[in-house]
Parts: sequence; structure tokens; C-alpha cells
Amino acid sequence: MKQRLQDIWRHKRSRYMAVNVTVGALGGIVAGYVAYSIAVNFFDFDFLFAPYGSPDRSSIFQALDIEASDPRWLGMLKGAGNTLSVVGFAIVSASLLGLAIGVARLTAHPLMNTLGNLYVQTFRNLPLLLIMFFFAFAVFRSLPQIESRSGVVGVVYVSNRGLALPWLEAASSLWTLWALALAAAVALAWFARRWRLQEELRTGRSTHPNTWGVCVFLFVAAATYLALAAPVRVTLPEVTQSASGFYTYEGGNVLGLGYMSAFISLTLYFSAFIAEIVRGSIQAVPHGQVEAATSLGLSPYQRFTLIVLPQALRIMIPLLNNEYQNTNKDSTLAHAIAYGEIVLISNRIVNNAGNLLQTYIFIFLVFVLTNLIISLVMNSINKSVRIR
Amino acid sequence: MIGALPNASALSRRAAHARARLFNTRTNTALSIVAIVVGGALAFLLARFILFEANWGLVAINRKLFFVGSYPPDEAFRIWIAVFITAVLAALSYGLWGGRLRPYAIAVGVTALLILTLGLGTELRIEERQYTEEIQSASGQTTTVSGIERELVFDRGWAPTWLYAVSLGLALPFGAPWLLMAAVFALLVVGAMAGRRLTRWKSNPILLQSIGAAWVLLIPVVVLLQVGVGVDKWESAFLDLLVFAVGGFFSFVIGVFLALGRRSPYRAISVASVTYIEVVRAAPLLVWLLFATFLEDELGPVGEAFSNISLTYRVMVVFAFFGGAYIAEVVRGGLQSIPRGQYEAADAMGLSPVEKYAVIILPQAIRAVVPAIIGRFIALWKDTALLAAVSLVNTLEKAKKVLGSQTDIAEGAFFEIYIVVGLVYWLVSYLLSRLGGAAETRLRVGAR
Repeated sequence: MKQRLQDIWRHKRSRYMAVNVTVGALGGIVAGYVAYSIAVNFFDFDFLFAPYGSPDRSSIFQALDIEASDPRWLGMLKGAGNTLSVVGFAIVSASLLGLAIGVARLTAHPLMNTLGNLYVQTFRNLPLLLIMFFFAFAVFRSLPQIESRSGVVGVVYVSNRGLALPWLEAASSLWTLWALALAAAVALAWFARRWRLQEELRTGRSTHPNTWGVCVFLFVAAATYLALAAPVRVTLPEVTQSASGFYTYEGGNVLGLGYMSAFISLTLYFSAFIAEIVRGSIQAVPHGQVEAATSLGLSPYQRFTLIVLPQALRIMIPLLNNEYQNTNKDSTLAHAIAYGEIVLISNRIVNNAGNLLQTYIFIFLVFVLTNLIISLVMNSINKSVRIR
Repeated sequence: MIGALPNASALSRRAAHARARLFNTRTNTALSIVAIVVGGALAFLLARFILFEANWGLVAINRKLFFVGSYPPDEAFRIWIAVFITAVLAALSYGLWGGRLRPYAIAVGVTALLILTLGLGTELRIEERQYTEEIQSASGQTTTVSGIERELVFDRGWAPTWLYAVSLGLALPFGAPWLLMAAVFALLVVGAMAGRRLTRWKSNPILLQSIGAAWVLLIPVVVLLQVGVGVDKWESAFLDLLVFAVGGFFSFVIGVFLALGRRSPYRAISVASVTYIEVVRAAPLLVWLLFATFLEDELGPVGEAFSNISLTYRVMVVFAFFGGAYIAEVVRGGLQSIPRGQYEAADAMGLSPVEKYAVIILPQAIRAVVPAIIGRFIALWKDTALLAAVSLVNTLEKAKKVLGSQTDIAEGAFFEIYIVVGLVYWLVSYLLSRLGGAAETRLRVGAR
């Protein structure tokens, strides 16, 4: 018997077979156990159709506010929407801030350099949850009361209830048409820019492609706006007092404390990481490139946008991809400051209904899907900036 | 803009300068004004808060809560033993590593001086007063309300407030056992000097191995010391450190095995490793932590057995397995950087697969990614803040509790508390990042 086992072990193919079968069987047992546990209560989806129970208005879009009567599955979808609405804006603002700070850290300007360094060292070494707590419990709590009407009267209000901003409101049912027209305007502007760019390459004379693009967009947007008889209008926030003496905001859009804290914290925290990525990638562009551009007589701005940035982007984008996925995943921490993102909503459902595995598999799928989307977008950008 | 071409040696220094001027040739002044206004405003606000507005007495009186929580005072020796061992080991390693002694000794000395003397002449106590108050209600009736009013008395003695703010002495000086603190600082200096002496035998493998073994043994020793107190007594920064140490240690072990498993020639092993790594990395840590918290009714007998373990241990397990998936990816990068020739040479020498990896491949692979591994440890340390989200009392949760329970003396002291808690987290991760930087230059990663 022992001899037999030794023979199996010595013979390469039989050894591979033995290990693969053993490990595969072990993995199968684990997977089967999990699948069985899921199956025991997984196919019970009735809980999803019960009403969610408690309203949650921490969203920034009215459409995503959760009503008590909403079924639970809708609550979860809206929670996922809330996650996306903080992650999307945070990714954009963190990238812009990170780009600015990363470039500031590269400048020879000593003050900018020091400030950038201080910023990065501060936020990179603090836990994100602490930054969120700091904003939610220290900064926003110490803001003035709503009745003091702080801010720009009639336009923007700041209080310990949140930030009230002017917002767009549908004036007629034609607004969907206008939204489509805006998308078309973007496409038209893109084509106009490309056409001017080709002209520039052909003739060698400056044809202002970017200005053209912006003008085309503005023209199409304004023309369709007028043609559709002003389908959207701006609403301004107002501080009003109800009959019972309570102050509330009316009109505009109120960005609640949860959203603001989550958004600002994600922006500050991830901009520090993005700044480091930007700095590293720009430094990795060989200096000869800058010298060559200088000797061609390009302006500093042209050198950066035409020579350095395109090359730095190739290094940057895979790293940014990773950082954006982290932003997406770390947005879950906002549940600790009562922002109604997916984990908060799901936990309320788990507390009420007790279907842990179903809800958590939903969370898991949401993150797999959103990270996949981020990855696909970044990979397509990566393809467009690669060396051709 | 086109100046004289710099010579090669000055090129890299000039490079940063030249690239920087891409933007600010014409806007240099504007940039300066912006920087001065923004930086000045921030510095002014911060200084005004630290020097005049902040209620540091509140932090000082709660110092113990922030560091060890409600740890039983009778058992304090367990923490002191851990502190002593860690101090000696850290100092020895610093000396052996070839760290510069003079700035180190000065830094330790100044810190010691600040911490040990800041408490002199300081008075810190909570005064309780009985009070009665007459309240007139809207209907004209008067009711008498009486109760106990607490007030924090904080007389700072000789030291100006900012000294408290800039040193860790902020929380430590008041009533910490002087002799023990002094001994720790003395050990830090003497240990480093001894370590420097030992550099003479730096090539002696037994010395290096025993120091390494001591570091590895430190974590189980510290944890075993604490097990006697009971897991529910672990709180605050101390809990964060324990979870970080245990989670970090095991995540490294798990990570190395997963990285090897991912490259295994056995298809089943590599598929299992890849599946594990990708599944764990797909979901946020918070989701795994909450999952481990709520697991009781799910996953049948296994879930039940797991949920019978104390939550603190469960969280450590989650940290180890979560961190392991990330460290595996880092180590994989290291393994990929090893030239094929190394594998072939090991095979040619007739080493067994275990010997090949343990002696030839892994030491080189891990050495190449030490800075990245330290980066993962920094992330893991910061992630310990998440314990607050699963209702374990870590530093962050303790801050919330102090603010919530001492409403009379902690009224509106959100900034003080969160700044100090932030300092605790910041300091550890900053030191770790410095360690990573030192490792990068010392191991000459990238130069090979």
C-alpha cells in the first residue's frame, strides 16, 4: 500500500491528478456547504416584497428618497443608487483635487510644494471613518442653526441640517426630450471638435477645436431649450417657518449631513492617494520628453497637456482604476454616519426580516458589478491613450 | 524658458524644477498669494484653536480611556510588560539596522522630558456641585429643579497649552507611573546603543535570526499576556493595536501561502487561490465584518460554532483573511520579479520544492516587496477604525462614548476629541510609512 502511494507520488501525472482531485473535492465540499446553507433559506424571496418600513431621505435626488411604503427590493435598489450618487461625484472631485495637488507637489514653488505635501501626509495617514466622523459630528454640528439663514441669502444656505443649493426642476414633461437633446449636443460638439482638429492637422494653422466644441454644445443646448419652451427651470432654496414654528428648507435641493460628510471625506481621503499617483506618473515620464518639447518651442501649458500628461496617463490609469474601485468599496463606511447607502438600507432589512445571506449576496453583487463597470470604463480609456 | 542645458549630475534636481515651471512661469506670484492666504488662514485657525479655544483638560482627564479603555488597573502589569518588550526590541533593531543614534537619542530625550515634566504643578480634577434652580413654566408655575453639576478644573501649571497639544504628553503626563515611563525611555536609548554595538556581529546569522524570531514571538506573547484579562476588557487604542498585530501577522502568513498557491502548478490549488483572492477583494472590508457579526443564524452548524467565538476574535479572523488576500497580490508581484534562473539554479542544486521556496525564492521575493507590504499594513492599521462600525469599543468608538456620556464637561468638545483620536491613528501610520521609506532605501529595492 505504502509502495503504491509512493509510486503515485513519484509519477508526475498521477501526482497532479491526485492533488487536483483532493483539492477539488475539498473545494467542492466547501462550495457545496455554502450553497446548501444558502439554498435552505435562499429561495424565500417574500421578504423583499414587504414594505421597507421607515422613510430615509438622506439621498440627494428626490427619486432616490425611500418612502416607508416602498417594497424592500426597491429600497435596496435606491440604496445602491445612493452609493453610486456619492461615489460618482466623489471620484470626479477627488480626481480633480488629486490632479491639482499632485501637480502642486511637483512644482518648484516651495510653498505650494509644502502645502501639497502636508495635505497628502495628513489625509493619507488618517482612517477614512475618522474623517467621516470628524465632518459629521464635529464640523457640521458646529455650523449655524437653520433659522440664522447663513449663506448667500436666496441662493445657498448652510446650516447644521445640510447645504441647500439651487437645483433644476422639470417645468414641463418635455424635459426628457431636452435631456436627449443635451446628449446629442455632446455628440455634435465631439464631432465638431474632431473635424476642426483634422483641419488643424491638415492646414497647420490653429483652428481652435476646443472653443468650437464648447460653442457647438452651448448653441445646440440653448436652441433646443428655446425650441422646447424652457422645459426645466431653476428652483432656489428658501428658509420657511411652518405654522407650528418649525423651520424648513423649501425649493432647491438640500444635501443632507450624511451625504455631505461622506462626499467631502471620500474626496479628501482619495485625493491624497490620487495626488501621489499623479505625482509618481508624471515623474516617471522621461525628462528628455520635456526637453524635446521645450526645444520645439511649446509653451509650458502645451508641454504639459500635449507631451507629459498623455504619457503620464498610461501609467496613471491602471493605478487610478484601483483607487476608484477602493472609493467605491469604502463608500460603505458612510453607513456609520447614517447616509442611506446600500449597507445601511440592507442592515435595516436584515434587522427587520433576518434574511442575511440574500441581502448580503445582493450587496456583494452590487459591488462586483459597479467595480466591473469602473474597470471596463478605465480599461477603455486606457486603450484610447495607449501608444499606437 | 530655454536656459543653458544642465549638466548630467544636476539634471535630476533641475528636472523637478523645470517640470514645475510648466504651469507657473507667469502665475508664480498668484500661486504664492494663494498659498500664503490658504496656508496662513489654516495655520491661524489651527493655532487659535490649539492655543486659546481648545479644552485640553477634557482630553487629559480621559487619557486612560483613549489608550486602554476600562482595563482593570490591577492587571496593568500585563500592558507594561508588553510595552517593555516592544521598546527593547524596537530599540535593538533600530541600532542594529544602523539608524543614526544622535537625532534618535535627542528625539527620545525631548519626548521623555516633555512627557515626564508636563504634569508638574498641574491640577486636574472634576468638581461636583449641588445646585438648585427655579424654572418658571409658561403657565406661571415655578418648579424647583436640583441636581449635581460637574465642572472640569484644569490648572495648567507651568506649561503653556500648546505644549500639551504638540506632544503626546497631551494625555500621558497626569498620573502615569513615572518610574515605569522613565524606564521605557531609558530602555529606548540604551537598547539602541546596544544594538549599535551589536552591528559588529551583524553578519552573525544567529543574532539576526534571534532578533527576527523575537519579533515573530512578540505577538503571541503579548496576546497570551492579555488573554488572562479577558477579551471584553480590550478597548480603545490598545484594542486597535492588538487587532492590527494579530491580523497583520496572520494576514502575512496567509498572503504568502495564497501567493504561492496562485502560482502552483496544480490547477486545483491555483484556481482555489485565485477564486479566494478575487472573492475577498470584491467586497468591502465592512461587509465582511458585518457578515461575521451577523452570522449566527446562517451557514448552519459552522456559522453557529463561529458565532460562539468572541466578536473580537472573529474580527481578528476577518482581518487576517481579508488582509491575506491583498498581501497575496503584493507577494505575487515579488514572485514574478524573480528571474527564472533562480528557480533553475535551485532545481539544479537538487533542492526540494519546499527548500527551493523557503531558502531561495521567498526571501528574495518578499525582500523586493517589503515597502508594498508595509503599505498594506498601513491600510490594515487604518482599517482597525472600522471596529467602531461593528460595535467594538476601539479608539473611535471610545471618543463617541466620551462625547455621549460626559455631556456636562464634554459639551461641544468634538474637535478636541477627534483631533486627539486622529493623532493616535495618524502617528502609527506615519511611523509605519517612514519605516517603509527606510526599508525601500535600505534594501535598495528597485536598484537591483
